[in-house]
Amino acid sequence: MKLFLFESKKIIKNKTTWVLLMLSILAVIGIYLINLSLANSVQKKVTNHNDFLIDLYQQDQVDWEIKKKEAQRTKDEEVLEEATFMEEHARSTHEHYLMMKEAYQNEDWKKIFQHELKQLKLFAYPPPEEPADAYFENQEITNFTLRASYEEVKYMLENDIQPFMQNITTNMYLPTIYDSFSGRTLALWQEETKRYGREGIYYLYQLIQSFYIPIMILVGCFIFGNTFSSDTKKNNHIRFYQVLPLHRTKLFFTKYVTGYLGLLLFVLIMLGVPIAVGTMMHGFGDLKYPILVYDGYTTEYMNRNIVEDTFHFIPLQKYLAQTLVLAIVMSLLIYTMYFLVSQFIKEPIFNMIIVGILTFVGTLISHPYNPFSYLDIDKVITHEIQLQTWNTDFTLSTGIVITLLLSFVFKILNYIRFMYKSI
Amino acid sequence: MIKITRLMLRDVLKKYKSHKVIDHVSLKIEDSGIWALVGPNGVGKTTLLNCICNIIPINSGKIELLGESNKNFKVFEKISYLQDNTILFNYLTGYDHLKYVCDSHRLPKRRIQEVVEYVGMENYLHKKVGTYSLGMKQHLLVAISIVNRPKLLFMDEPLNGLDPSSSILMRKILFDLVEQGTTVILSSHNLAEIDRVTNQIIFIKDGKLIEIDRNEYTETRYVFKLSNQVLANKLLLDSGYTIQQEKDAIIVTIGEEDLNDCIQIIQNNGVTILDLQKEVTGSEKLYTKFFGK
Repeated sequence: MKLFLFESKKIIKNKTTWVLLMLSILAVIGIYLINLSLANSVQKKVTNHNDFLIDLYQQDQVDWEIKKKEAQRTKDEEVLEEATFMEEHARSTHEHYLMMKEAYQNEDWKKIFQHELKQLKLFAYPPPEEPADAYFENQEITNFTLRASYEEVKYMLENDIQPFMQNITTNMYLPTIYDSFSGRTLALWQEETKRYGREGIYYLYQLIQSFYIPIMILVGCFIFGNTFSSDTKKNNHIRFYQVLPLHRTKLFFTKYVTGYLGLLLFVLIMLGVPIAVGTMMHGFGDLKYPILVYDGYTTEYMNRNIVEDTFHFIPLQKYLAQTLVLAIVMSLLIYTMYFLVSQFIKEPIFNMIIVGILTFVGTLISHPYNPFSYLDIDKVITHEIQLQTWNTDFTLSTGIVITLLLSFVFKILNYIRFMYKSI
Repeated sequence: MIKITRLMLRDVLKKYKSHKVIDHVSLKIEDSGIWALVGPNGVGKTTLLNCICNIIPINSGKIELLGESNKNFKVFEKISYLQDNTILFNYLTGYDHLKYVCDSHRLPKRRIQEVVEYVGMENYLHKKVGTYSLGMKQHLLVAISIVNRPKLLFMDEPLNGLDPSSSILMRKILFDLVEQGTTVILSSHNLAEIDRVTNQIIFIKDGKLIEIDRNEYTETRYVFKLSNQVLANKLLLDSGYTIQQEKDAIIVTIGEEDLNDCIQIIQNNGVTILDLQKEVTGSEKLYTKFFGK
């Protein structure tokens, strides 16, 4: 315990620890501000689009009113009928967009969801006698995506959930792995459906989808994973311990555990920072927010079936809990690997690069028994990885067990190296 | 009463590739006292001390400290090794270091205060080691190495970077330790300091150890400044003393036991002694003999 406290004191009193921690926090805050400005620009774009439509239909209404008066004067019944209908249509559309603009500005999501549901239902579940296909830039939107989008909106309406900031000038589409856009349409689709988390947990969810956790684990290793290498680098700090009545096994485990606990604390802080900054700026977000989970293949040949394949939603709360478990296990693996590399190479920056490369290469080999395949936590939890690899063995529990096993093997190697190699 | 061998090296070999730094060396020290490990840079003094303390492994042979294998970590409850200051953590305070060492030895907190006062580092105990001067770091290393009241103490260049007052303090500490029954083995380049603290010298050359009792080589000389140098010169020569004439002084090579007679001869003939200095030489001469100039 005393050695653990001493090791902890070394970490705490080292300025580099604090500088790197502050830089990491600032980076997350900086990314949030960029994200927020993008979200605001999307919001502005939607408002401008509404304004444009409001003006357009107002002008339309005026034009048809003039035509209607002209028809009344000339007593042209046919034109009068058309002008009356069109004026009414323009007026109601104008009012609809006025209402939509107001709802959007006031973030009255219920009204928006109700409107979206009407639109999406027509395409997601068209009556058999009236099949309807939805298109985006002349390319078909798959029925799976339409159904998922519809169900998501329905879930949010029923549970009174605040959505992410998204461009809703078309519809509130939820992009899925079943999308099959190509070329410029794909880029446009990605842009149109991109979601920006402004609230605390929404921002965290957005970061998790972008390899945030593995990156933070690597940074954490760089800060806290050098309990051994920093003592054997330029200085001979390790010799300080070697002439004390202290068993090498105890020294190894204390250094290993101190570094890991430091890393774990860092990862937890870095998970807390996006929540804190988002909450301060835009509120906490809703823990019931629906996360799409693919149910997998319905055909025995493992083909994607856009009409029959099913899905379900899990609340964001459950998603974050599963993420936390995977993050803890992943951090153990990457840390143990980093610790092993640091027993051979004393320079932390090289260790981080090497471990980063090994991790990246590891992710390229998709196999249920390859722990690095589980680094994209989002794809594991949503089962996207199962669909991508045509393999349903990729499960959260397999990932946890395999990762723990490899961590244990690395730990044994670390111990052997530490005990039997001259420092 | 059974006497425990303080240090025993038996046929110890340490080599780097084919270069034998320690070449089948044996050594036995059974008593308290100070032993100086002497040799030029790169000869393997630190390597030997590191091997003895199991910091680096030996290729073959056996090392025992206080009757136990040096591989037993528990021996360090009664043994200390003062290493160079690169082992210190610059971002920790002297207190942090001492506190941890005390905890490792399961010593009470008050022992820190005792050692700190003894070494004289109260003023900077709570400052970060990074701000310490060379001498201050040396004081901390000394404090760390004596905090457990060692029976056997190894010191690697303990006199490096010390100002005169620190050197005096270091000598006092060494003599106190010996008085308390500690065996001290120190490596040093400072031959003059070695002459002041010990006669027991271990030269290290070509991987071998040569143990010398400097008493056999010690030469004591007295430098006299006199009111009548010419007369004194004649008187001493006539009395059979070996003298050396300098510009302002006469150097007489005699043992301590003959000093009184020498002074009597000078004073009985009306010559006044203006100044008298003692010079002890030995290590330097021996060093030159072993390693050349």
